Amino acid sequence: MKPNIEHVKKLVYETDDLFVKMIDWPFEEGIICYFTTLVDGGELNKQLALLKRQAEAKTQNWAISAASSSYPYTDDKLQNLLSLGETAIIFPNANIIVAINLKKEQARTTDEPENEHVITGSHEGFIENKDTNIALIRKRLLRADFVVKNLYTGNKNSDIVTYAYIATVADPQLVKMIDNKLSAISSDEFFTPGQLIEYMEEHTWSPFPQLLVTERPDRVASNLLEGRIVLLMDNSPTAILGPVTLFSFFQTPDDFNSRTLVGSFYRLLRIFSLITAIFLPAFYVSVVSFHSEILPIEISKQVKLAINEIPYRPFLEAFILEIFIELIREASMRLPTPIGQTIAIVGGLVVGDAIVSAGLVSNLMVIVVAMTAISSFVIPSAEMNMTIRILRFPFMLGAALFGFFGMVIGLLLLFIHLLNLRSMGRPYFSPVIPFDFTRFKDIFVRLPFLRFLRNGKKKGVRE
Amino acid sequence: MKFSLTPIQFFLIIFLLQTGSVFITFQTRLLEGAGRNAWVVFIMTGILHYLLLLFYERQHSRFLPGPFVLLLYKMYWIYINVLSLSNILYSLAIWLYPNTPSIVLLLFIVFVSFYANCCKPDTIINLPVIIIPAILIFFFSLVFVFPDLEWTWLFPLDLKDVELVLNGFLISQVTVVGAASFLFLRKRVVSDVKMIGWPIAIYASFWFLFFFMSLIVVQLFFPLETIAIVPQALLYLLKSQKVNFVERLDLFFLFIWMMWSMITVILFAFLIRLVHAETNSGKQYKFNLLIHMVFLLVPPFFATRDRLEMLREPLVYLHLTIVVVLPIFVFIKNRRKTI
Repeated sequence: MKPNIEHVKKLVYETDDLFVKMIDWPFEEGIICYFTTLVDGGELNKQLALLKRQAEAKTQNWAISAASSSYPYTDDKLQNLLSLGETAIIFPNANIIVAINLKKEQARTTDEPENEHVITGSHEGFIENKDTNIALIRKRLLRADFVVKNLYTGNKNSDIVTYAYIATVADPQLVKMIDNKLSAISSDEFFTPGQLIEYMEEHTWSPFPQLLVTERPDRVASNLLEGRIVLLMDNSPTAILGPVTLFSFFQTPDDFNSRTLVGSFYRLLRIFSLITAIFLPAFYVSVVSFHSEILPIEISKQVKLAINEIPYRPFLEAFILEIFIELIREASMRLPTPIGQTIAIVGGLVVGDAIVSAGLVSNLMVIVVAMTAISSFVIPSAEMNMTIRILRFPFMLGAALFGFFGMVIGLLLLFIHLLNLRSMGRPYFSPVIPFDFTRFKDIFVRLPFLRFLRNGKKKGVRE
Repeated sequence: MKFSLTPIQFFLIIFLLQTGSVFITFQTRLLEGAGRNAWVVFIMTGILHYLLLLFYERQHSRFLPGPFVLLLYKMYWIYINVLSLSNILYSLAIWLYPNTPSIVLLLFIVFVSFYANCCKPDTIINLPVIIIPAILIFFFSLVFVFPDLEWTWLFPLDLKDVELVLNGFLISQVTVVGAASFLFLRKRVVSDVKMIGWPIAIYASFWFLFFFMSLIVVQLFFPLETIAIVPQALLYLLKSQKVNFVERLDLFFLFIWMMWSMITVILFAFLIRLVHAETNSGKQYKFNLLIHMVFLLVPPFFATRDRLEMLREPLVYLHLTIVVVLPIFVFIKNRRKTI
């Protein structure tokens, strides 16, 4: 059956934002259709005029221009083009569709991401437009081997996922693996980067993020230069990077924009903060509940004085405060910024002081929990930050049950789990395990950039 | 099971298998058995250990044991794991948890081992890396003791007393218990690596330094007459040390040792599974569950001083049979076949 206006309307279930009309064309009458909510009408008129002139001049491939292309007509193709925001001109006798891509773009400016501030360096950030995001990366990587690939995913082929890499640096097997994984996605409801991450990750139930999420084009560019691959989706400012290691989450662009010694110091501080954020409350609970003899006598006296009048066991004390801190954090995040700050002050200072005065928790516990919270906030990745905050609860439970023994059991389980993890098929705990000294020292020290350049030249990684 | 080892992974695994189950207990027993000769006896053991490794390296390609011999190895390693777990339970009961039922503590230890053994071999073979900082801490902790050592207690020696020397030599063999794993893991090492020469010499020297230093420190710290009443001399030794930042150094060390021992238990369980897989291609999961049930149910029975001693008694003889006699038997048998 030849397509007609009624047929086109039926294909999109007679939605009201469909524009569909017959259009005069030099060789036959066509049907023009598009969603008015997605297409820029003014630009479309200009493009139509251009195509019409080409058709009148009987130019070969008149339908092909910078913004248009042609396909054989099928109902599925028409549905697909319309839903992607393209304009379709159907020529029933020739049985072709000319598609014009003139989407109405409403994008915000490329401001610095709220959750990834840097002191020095670029203040640009990704926005909800994929093409703009790719342009932001490309302007940092002015090289011919930066490759961008688009893939239609899902059963209806209506969702586009883009992956990009540097062809001379990225491992071809890794690229193939990612292509295969993306092609295998069969979901029809595919909206968020979170969903995409779950499809790409090998260990969905792990608390550890196995792909790095960022909204910073400079971070993406530097990771691409290290052989990683970036995944982008339309309508999301989030870029997904992989493969990564646990230690990738503790680096920021600031490390490379500050002095070598300063960068190294803060890198070490972040690793230290990882240890305190996970183990400090558990260590305190262990010492107070089981191993108070470990402390020097002077400190031991202070601890005993502080906890003597507290009615709850140390674990419960720590648990109450940790949950309280989480509540403040969650409340301050969900509320508008000025109110959020007020909540943080009221929660942290007023209620915190009142809890201690009421004798529900000890001063020492407040210090421990506050130090833990601050340590966790030092971690630059929001996802890793959340993971670390959740991890301290099982450690606290282990410490409350068996003291240091519970912590050792927890630590072993954590190590085994980390050794099991893979990010896009690569070991997550690298370069510690498998051990690689050249990369191992980079965990702790930010070496001078000139040295990287020299190494890069030797290995042929950088141009 | 498909996996390959780098030489560092290979030696690290063997090091843990050799040290994990005995390194805080052997000093007392050796000093009891050999008296002041202990350090000289251990030098002899060190030389023999090096020769044993060289012998294994030269002959390992002929080590093709049959199902019965493999069964013997499995039984031997199950025995060692039961001994290690009993020792951990006993130490925990003495030092930290006198009122906690040992089965509760054991449940957690065995669960960790079971979980690790459910993972890919790559995970387990990389696990010993965690202990590298602990080895450094161990050496560092011993340095604290140096000012308190009585160096004149190295002498006088009594090497004419052959019975004393032989007795000490037999006891010191417990430090070589995990050496048989060399034969099973050697073929997994990446093929182009040559072990004879520096690799084995460095490993044997490190192994020797580790045990020798701990022995010397204990020998020079405790009078010989009192050593019999100090079963875990290293822990007592660290307990007596005063440092500014912490009152009880021994407690930290106890947990390092516990982690060390637990990784050793995991590695022995892995070896048992590895050997089992050579003759049984069936479901490894059930076998893994079975051996861990044994590790859960048997050790609590032996977690008292007397029973632990009873369990430990045949270790040296079993060790000599399994680590020295049995491989020689297998080598000769396969040599005849090839001739």
